Amino acid sequence: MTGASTMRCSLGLLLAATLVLVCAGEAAAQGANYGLGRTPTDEELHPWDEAIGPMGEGLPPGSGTAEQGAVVFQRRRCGECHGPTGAEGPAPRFVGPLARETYPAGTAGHAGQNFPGRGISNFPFAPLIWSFINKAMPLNQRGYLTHDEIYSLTAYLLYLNGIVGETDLIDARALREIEMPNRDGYVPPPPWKPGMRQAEVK
Amino acid sequence: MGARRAGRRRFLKEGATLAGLAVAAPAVGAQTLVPGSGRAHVPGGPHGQAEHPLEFGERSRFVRTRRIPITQVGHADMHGDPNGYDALTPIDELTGTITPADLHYVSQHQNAPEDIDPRKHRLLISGMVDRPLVFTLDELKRLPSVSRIHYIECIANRPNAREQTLNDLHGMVACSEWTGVLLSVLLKEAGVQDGATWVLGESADKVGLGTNIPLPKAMDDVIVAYAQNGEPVRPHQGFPLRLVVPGFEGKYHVKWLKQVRALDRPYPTYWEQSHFTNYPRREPLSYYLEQGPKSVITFPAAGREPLPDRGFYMISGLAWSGCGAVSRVEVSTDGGQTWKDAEIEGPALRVAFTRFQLPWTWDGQETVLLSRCTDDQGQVQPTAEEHSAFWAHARPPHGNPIQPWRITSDGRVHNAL
Repeated sequence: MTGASTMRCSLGLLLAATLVLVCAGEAAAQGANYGLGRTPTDEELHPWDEAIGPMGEGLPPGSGTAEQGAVVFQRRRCGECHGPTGAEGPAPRFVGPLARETYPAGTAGHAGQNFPGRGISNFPFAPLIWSFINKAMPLNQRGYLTHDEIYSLTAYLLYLNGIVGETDLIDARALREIEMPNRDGYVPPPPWKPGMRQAEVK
Repeated sequence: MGARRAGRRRFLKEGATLAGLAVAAPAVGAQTLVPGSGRAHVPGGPHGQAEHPLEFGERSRFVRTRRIPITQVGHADMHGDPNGYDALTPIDELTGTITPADLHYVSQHQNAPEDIDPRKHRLLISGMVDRPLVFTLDELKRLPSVSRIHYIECIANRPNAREQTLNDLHGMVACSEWTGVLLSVLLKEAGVQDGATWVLGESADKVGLGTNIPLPKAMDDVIVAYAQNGEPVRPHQGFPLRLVVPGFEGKYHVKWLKQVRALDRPYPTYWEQSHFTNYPRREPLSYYLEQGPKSVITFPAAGREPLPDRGFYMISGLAWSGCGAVSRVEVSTDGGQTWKDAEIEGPALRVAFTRFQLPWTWDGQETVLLSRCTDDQGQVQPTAEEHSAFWAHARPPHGNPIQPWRITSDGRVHNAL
């Protein structure tokens, strides 16, 4: 063998060895510095109750209509906490105007209070409704509803507030595209550095 | 085992008989000897059972210090959630700067803490990282740790003219030593990618709590804490893991932490999006982040026993700042006309309770006491008027106005806000 081809062989071996190491690294990643932790399984990587992004990032397949949602609302007994039409409470009251229409300008509205419409019309992003129902509802029985049921319930709650029609098909794309009435009530904060009291928008 | 238990029961019975106490209805004294008292009851799990009376130190039966559960409808509905479950730190009775773990205030959106098996719990680091990672608790404890003293204060700790006692006005705050692994260590293990600007911490609780933290803060001093005051974090404080985000309001310190995700924008969670939209003033609200300087005189204070007589007292209080260390506390004993520097006890630690004291001789006349702290960033605690003006565009996130106490000639102390 000539010198050049020997070198090419060695280089080839080196490349092959690196590839093997890299692949092995991908398969069983551990922390870079301390070698602790392990790669999550696909199931672990996206827990069933993971928060959905404001643009619907992470919404699974599925769909429903408000018409179907009304049935789910009955069958799953949401009314027991939220009231028969979702407006009575004592749990968050879904139906009602925007808080800024309820409270005279200049008065301090209590963001945590259970005012009418707190649950829905003040959400700046529709996917967050899906996210919260999925994570937390029914209270003390989370994980009970199917994805389609949650789409249906989301559609129903949006319908009760006049945001979608009774038979509009609500899926991930539809949720992403809904312009919520309080959309401009939320502005993502600009970059923040230690020492800043708050990320001022104005 | 059986013989030891029988011996213990005899001890209790005979002890009680000797003391003349009814065994059937334990009085406070007997209660301290009841197995497992003083430990948090964990719903669904075995109630702690002491095998031997020396296993758990108990408070004297003459010491009644305890958290104050918030049960009035107005407060229970504070989160707009009838299942809200809160209890105040009894700061009128605390001394020094450390809050015992079982007296640390509780604020949760469910009516019992989570009951998590630490052997099964996992922490997931995911999102915009090179290597998503899952850690067991044992692995987290093997990593380099830090132990830091930090206060945590709830956004709802806003004093107002209505409330009558120190605890009601300022009880949603406490200070502990937190031990854990820095979040920055975990994020470096996973390798945060360019373009990530926020991290989202998510809880394993029942209502899907989670908060978004700016990445520079996450890489700075945020702790994934597994211990508080020398022992595992208790269930009410987030066993087995919680975030400590020094200087940010309580909501950021996610309890029962199970996941941290690096993102290129905040993913506002339910509670955040309902608090970061500014309903009445029709303007978007910005994220509340670092809390400012705050101080309050804890003795004399409203809700305590009246001062027995004129004469000598040590005014005592607590000061803290979310931005740094307290550098100065001034006290006025004449309604704000003149101010004196109070003595700060020990080193003033960053983002932690600092105890201050001032000797004072009360002449028996009505007067108003005030304290005002300055932190090492140069920020000064505002008066109530300044506080309202500063937060004119929003509902104040941090209730840190100067707290005036009016002392009337009968020795009673009143909230003078």
